[in-house]
Amino acid sequence: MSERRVVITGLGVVSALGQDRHGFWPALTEGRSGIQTIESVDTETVTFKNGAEIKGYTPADHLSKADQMLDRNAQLGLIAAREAVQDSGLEFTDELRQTGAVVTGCACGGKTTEDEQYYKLYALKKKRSHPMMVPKVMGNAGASRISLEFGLQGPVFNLSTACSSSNHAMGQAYWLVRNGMSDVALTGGHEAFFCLGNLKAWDALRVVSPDTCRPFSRDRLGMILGEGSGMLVLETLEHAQDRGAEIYAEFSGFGMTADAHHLTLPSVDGPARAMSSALNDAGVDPSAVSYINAHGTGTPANDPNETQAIHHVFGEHAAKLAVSSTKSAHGHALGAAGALEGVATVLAIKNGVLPPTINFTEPDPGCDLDYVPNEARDAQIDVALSSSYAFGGLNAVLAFRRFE
Amino acid sequence: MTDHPSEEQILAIVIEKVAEQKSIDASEISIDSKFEDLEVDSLDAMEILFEVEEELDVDIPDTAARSMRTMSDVVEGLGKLVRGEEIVLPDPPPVADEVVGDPAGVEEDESSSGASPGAAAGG
Repeated sequence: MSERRVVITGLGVVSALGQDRHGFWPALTEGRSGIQTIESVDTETVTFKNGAEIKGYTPADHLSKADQMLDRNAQLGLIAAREAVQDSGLEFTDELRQTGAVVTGCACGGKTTEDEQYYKLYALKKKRSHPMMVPKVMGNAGASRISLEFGLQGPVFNLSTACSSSNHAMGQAYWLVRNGMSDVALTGGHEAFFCLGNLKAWDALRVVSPDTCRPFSRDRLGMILGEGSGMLVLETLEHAQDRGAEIYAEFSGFGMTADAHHLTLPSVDGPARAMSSALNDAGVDPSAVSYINAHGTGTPANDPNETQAIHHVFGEHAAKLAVSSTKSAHGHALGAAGALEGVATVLAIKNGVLPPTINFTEPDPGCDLDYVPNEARDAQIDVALSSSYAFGGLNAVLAFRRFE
Repeated sequence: MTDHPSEEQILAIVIEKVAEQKSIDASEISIDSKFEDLEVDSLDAMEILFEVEEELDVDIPDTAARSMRTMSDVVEGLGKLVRGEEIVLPDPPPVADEVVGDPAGVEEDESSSGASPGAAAGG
């Protein structure tokens, strides 16, 4: 099969920065933070108190009664997918539906539902679980509901690779369209995991910041957990042009590697090879890249490691790169992180604006790149990467290109 | 043993749960209603039975639950359970209901009965 060019024609996003794409981008570029006091969970016994929750989200405003039975993570995925499809103006024909793909990243599944139901069984001694428990908590609940929504009957699956879930998902969807398996794909990720059981688990790892997320900054104290969903409509360039669709950017490459090194500590080699692999897949020279939406968790370990990996791949060109972590604004949405950042990267290319790393206070000697501190900047971005490096040593990097 | 809810009371509870599940008016539901006519599918039926089990503190056996496809099936069955009697099934459940991991079997059952809880899961 010959390779086809793939473009992005629709975006949907729900996050702490707003409940659609119209809220997301202005918040990012104006340097507003979605990090606030956690309200959905009583954090009395949790060390950290802040998170990037979606405030003011009322399922009934968006969803039918039946869809309100979905776990929050799948609700967010469905809402973002609907927005992305509406944005794309795509109308699904029977032919498109036959091979239409849905590839999602969701690492946590229905954690909040599990937490609530297990509490009823263990603490309240309830005799029975809710009959929708199993379909609610399955990781593919979102992918399956989105497939039903649009009648998409081709490759539909969910990927769970911790913080790289969405990037792995989007990369697979890209390859499916590029290689001719599907003519259109809905891809991205969705995650919602704010419940006591899960917050305590993250607390025990000692990687969550007690105040806020300051990626690449000397005084960074860790990540801030977030939730949300980002969804992208992918289609062939030919199909998009035939129907006169507006094109945000071209999806031009995907690379993935594993560290095979340590369960939680990152390596330089794995991320570096993932970036090189994405560039190679895109057929572009490192010198063509002008922006990287970094993994940039704000943990002491990630940020200098990622910086070294960028130096390793880009050499002298690293000094000319803009590198920012939008996790400083929308938090770390784990399985949905790459999807939120993918949307941010595509919008950065389309709008010619670099979203900043906010909460940046002072440079770290171990982090010596241009992190676009605190203020957005205008810049023409020809090629951009969006990186995710997961616990378990799994690295996934996407390459996007400006479309003219 | 006179404090069991009457069948009228059970009917009122089931009507309330069905009305809530389907977002319809209670006046549209009677003892003569069939799940199919109320557009109660197998997943709806499971949720409705869960709600009435919680309210009446009874456990409906799986085989009995699968055979409940009308309001009178449910009310009659629950009446027996609250009185401590067993539900005697008139017919053995269809073979397809027993097949786990066979979506085709589920689909067939959905189209023929439209309601049987327990036929909702293909695995």
